Amino acid sequence: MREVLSILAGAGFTVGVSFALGSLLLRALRLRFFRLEGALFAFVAGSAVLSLLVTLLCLAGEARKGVFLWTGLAAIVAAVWRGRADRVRRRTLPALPMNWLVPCVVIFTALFIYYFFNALAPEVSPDGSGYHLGNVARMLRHRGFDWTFHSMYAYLSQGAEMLYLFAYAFGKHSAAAMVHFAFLCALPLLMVCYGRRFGLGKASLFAALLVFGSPVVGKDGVSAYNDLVVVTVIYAVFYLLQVWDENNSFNILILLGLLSGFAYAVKYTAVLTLPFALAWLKWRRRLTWTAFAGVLLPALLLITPWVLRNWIWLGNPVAPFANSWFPNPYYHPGMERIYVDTLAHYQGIKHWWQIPLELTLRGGLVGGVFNPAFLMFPLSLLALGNTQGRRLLLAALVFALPAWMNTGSRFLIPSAPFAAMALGMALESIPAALPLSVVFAGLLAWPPLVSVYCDSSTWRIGELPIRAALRKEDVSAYILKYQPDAGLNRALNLYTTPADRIFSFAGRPDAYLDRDIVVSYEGTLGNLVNDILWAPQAHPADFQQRFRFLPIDAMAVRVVNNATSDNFWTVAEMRVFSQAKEVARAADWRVSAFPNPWEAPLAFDNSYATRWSTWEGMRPGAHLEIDFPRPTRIDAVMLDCEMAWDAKLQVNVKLPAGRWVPLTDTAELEKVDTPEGLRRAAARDVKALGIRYLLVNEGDFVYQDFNKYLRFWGLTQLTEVNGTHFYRID
Amino acid sequence: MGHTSTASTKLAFTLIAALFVVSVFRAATADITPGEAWNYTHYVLPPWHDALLNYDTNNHVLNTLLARISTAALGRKEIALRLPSLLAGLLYAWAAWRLARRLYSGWGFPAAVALLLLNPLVVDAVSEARGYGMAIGFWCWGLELFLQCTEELTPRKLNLAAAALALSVAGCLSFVVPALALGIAATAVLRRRMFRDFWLPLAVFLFWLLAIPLNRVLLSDLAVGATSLRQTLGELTAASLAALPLPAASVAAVVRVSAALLAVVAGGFAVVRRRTEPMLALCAATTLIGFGLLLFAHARFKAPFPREGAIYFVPVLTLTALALMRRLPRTMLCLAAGCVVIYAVELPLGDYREGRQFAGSRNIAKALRAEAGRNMVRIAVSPPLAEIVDYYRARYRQANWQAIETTPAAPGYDFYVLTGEDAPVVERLSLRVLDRTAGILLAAPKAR
Repeated sequence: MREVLSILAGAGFTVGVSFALGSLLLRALRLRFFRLEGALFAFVAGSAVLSLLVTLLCLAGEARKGVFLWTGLAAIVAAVWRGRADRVRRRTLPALPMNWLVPCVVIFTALFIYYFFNALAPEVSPDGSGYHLGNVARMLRHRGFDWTFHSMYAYLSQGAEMLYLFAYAFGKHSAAAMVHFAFLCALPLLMVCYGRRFGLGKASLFAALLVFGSPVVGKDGVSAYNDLVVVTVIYAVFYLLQVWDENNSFNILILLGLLSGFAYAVKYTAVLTLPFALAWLKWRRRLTWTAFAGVLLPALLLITPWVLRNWIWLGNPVAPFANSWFPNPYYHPGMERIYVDTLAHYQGIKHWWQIPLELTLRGGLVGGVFNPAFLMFPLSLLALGNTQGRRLLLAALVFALPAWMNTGSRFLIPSAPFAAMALGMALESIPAALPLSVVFAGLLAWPPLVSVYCDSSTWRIGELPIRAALRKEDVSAYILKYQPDAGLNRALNLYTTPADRIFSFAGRPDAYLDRDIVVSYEGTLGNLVNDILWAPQAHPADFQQRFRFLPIDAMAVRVVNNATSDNFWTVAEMRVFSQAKEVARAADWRVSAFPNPWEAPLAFDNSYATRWSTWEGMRPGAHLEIDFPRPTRIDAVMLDCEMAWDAKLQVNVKLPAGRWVPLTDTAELEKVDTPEGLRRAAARDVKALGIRYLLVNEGDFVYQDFNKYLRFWGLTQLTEVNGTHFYRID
Repeated sequence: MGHTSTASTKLAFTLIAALFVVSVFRAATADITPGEAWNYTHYVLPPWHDALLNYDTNNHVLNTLLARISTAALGRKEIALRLPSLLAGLLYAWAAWRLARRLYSGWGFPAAVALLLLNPLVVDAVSEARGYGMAIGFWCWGLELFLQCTEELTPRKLNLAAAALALSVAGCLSFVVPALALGIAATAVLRRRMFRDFWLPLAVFLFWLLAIPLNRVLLSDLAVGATSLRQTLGELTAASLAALPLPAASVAAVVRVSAALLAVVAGGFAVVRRRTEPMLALCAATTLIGFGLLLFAHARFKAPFPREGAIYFVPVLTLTALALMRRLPRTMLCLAAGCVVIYAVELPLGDYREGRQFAGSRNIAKALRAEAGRNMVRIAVSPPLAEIVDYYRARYRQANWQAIETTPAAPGYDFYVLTGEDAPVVERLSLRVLDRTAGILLAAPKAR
């Protein structure tokens, strides 16, 4: 029970500090809202402020429990102190009809209880226990950002994780999830306030129920994800725009800017919030420079720390994206393309009309379902006849755009409140439709009923884990039931030290492991290790391309590609010859490449297990180059590689006079035997990269080969946990 | 509309009461039909999630839902399964009463009620555990509500009409045709407020009733039915007028021509008298639009024509004819008397038309239960009987009927439940016949 109290205290303290900071901010800005509305805006705005403070503490390396405690207490005391002076009774919003309010409250309460215990239970969601809280745990260990740890997930903006870090310091994983849950609860309240303020009472109750009662929203909201923070902030921005429309207050613009910036800080996909707000202001009234600055500067306050952090740390302000524009040694553009392409395409969907069905009724192929009532969304076009309806539909459209880049239903959550509100307005105009829809939508939101109609693989709340939530059953067993990989922690602690680096092909629940895992797809090091381990089976260097030409004295030689293709161009070894003898490599040679210059030495390390790769689609001008310290006579260049049939290669040399001259684009191609000892070489090269331990699932590509030729690889299996094999490189 | 005499009202009431008593008796005693058994074993008995994994046209959504409730409350007896249909029968009778009352007074009234109720297809539908009874019942209520709207148009009545027609489609998916046709006809007749007060609510009601059950429907699941309208009407005629001592083909041809003439003539009248004769207008337009929709769907989408689902033509055509002859009450009485006689001759009092070929299945199941005792037994079943045996296994809670397999020709089973067509298996496998009915036999290996 003590653990439960610490969880509730951690989450409650975070929410309380957010509220306190928000109250101080609203008071400083002299903004007056209605009672409930004001409390919600205080919470959301305070979250933004708290997130910024924690970010700054992380940058300063002072993110620790004691600092959080005293900062938080100071904020609360200040808010209470200032609140004593402000005894003005706030007005309340127009009341809702009781015959609507009571049934809706009953439905909400039932769902709230179900959700509450799920949020309180040990955090076992894939991304929550993976990178969201993995990053948080790492930050707490390092009292800030770990600049030596490279993973694409660590590069994302982490505005919500800053709040989780605050809560995690006191109540660990579940406290973080509870903070997210607080946003899940705030969102429907905010929607109802909006409805009450703008005369959409019944429609807003329906819409709030629809969003709160969407299985994917519920599951997401009780996990340590960040989508509910995003959507709440976006909705708050939209709400404030409408309020600004009414009263034209400059100080609202400051709050608007702050929240727009916070949206970006929470998740890149919310980047549209700021342009949306600015465009709105421009459309409604002439946007003066003062108003523009009033929005932009607070927004930049929240955005800049993340942009600068990435720019200074990685050389890419928007890492892990746009790596072609900002080349860096930490994330390959080609990997980015593969990642983005994978997310952007539906898997297993054959017809377009399956998409709405998947999003609302089935969910197995899109990672979760919304409430089936959303299938009636076309009816919301009826709301176009109303100003509010048009605005809501516009917002729904704009904030659905990121879903174009990611097919997961979670990415439509920011659009859902607007769509639901518009649908509510439309249904309200159809006799009997709204109450009927409230009843059915409430019924179909009930988690055990969700399992009746959706696919069994749909991501959703599946049970009511009261005993686990109250810590009356073994927490480890509960976590292991959903995250079997958490069982690796014991083995990792037994066989490795905190300084050891461990490689894994698949992502692991970082939040429950005491070691940092290098994952194959999360960064260049992971890509490289993956590439090396795959070399013996997937891409042995069994082709030799030899370019012969008349002997020439060269200052540099370069093999250039002149073709365009989506495939990568790779070279395991590049050698130069003179009179049929290889010109011995010397320490004063300078090797370079474009693109991916950082890995050029891999083509000159005499290992067929490693290779240089463009790590992006081939394009003209890509090259691998040797600069000799003095004119060197050469008459052939040879590439050992996996054959890149798309490439069109040409050898250029740099004459002593400094001029580049093309020599030949004709290669003699020879298929050669796979070099012997490739497995051992691969293991050695991986070890040379600082990785001594491997985690391999039985479904991984290399597992069968490991299993069969463990001795040839030079590996020792230390243990096996739930189908994951733990190897040491000898 | 004139006053209806007390005697004729009593006759109509007696007719309805008698039909209800007969229906209850049949619901309690008739053997399960293959359609009922299929629906029960695929959609009523399994857990919700499994039941919703597939859809076929045999799943009459509303009936399935109500049957789940009634069997959960009252057990797995046939009458519990058929209870929703029985209640739907009352609903239909009530609607028929009101519609007949609108058209005729005096003895014409009970005659109209009899025509609407005594068609053998209807008599089966109001107790057999399928969705046809509730579909025609709700459709007739939709019509009644539209007729009320022609007198006093209120949004509430249009909403209720939308709900009734949505429930009718939920009762049987093929009723989407008469529901749409009636809606279009009503739109043409009423011309006001229909989009917001009828069509949109209809869409919402249909959505909530059908979205989940039809979640995984495939177009191929729906492509089941007759290949031509001629076949549809032929089967309808054969079932309705089987008692006529004439060649079925001739009867069907006469009915086809009569239906076409009726539709055209009534359509003409409907256009002319749509204000004064709303019933005629609505029914005639529904008939014409219904035929049009079926033909269009067939031509454009290769949609099959309905078979059992074509039962909606019974009330639609009957009401059209009744409305058309409203001004000729004597002629109507004569024709109705003839028709009622034909219906009465064919009036089914025992097993349902659909299950007659497997009559006695319950006795076979009881015999099997007695023979098998509590032993674990493997049973081979002729494919058409599989669902029936499955139903009785669930009905009598015989979990020891371990494997019911539809491979009757193979040896090695403890019991064989065979159709007449598979009877040669008895000789081939040297089986001993334990029990036999007109269409089913129960056998076991001699050595057993």
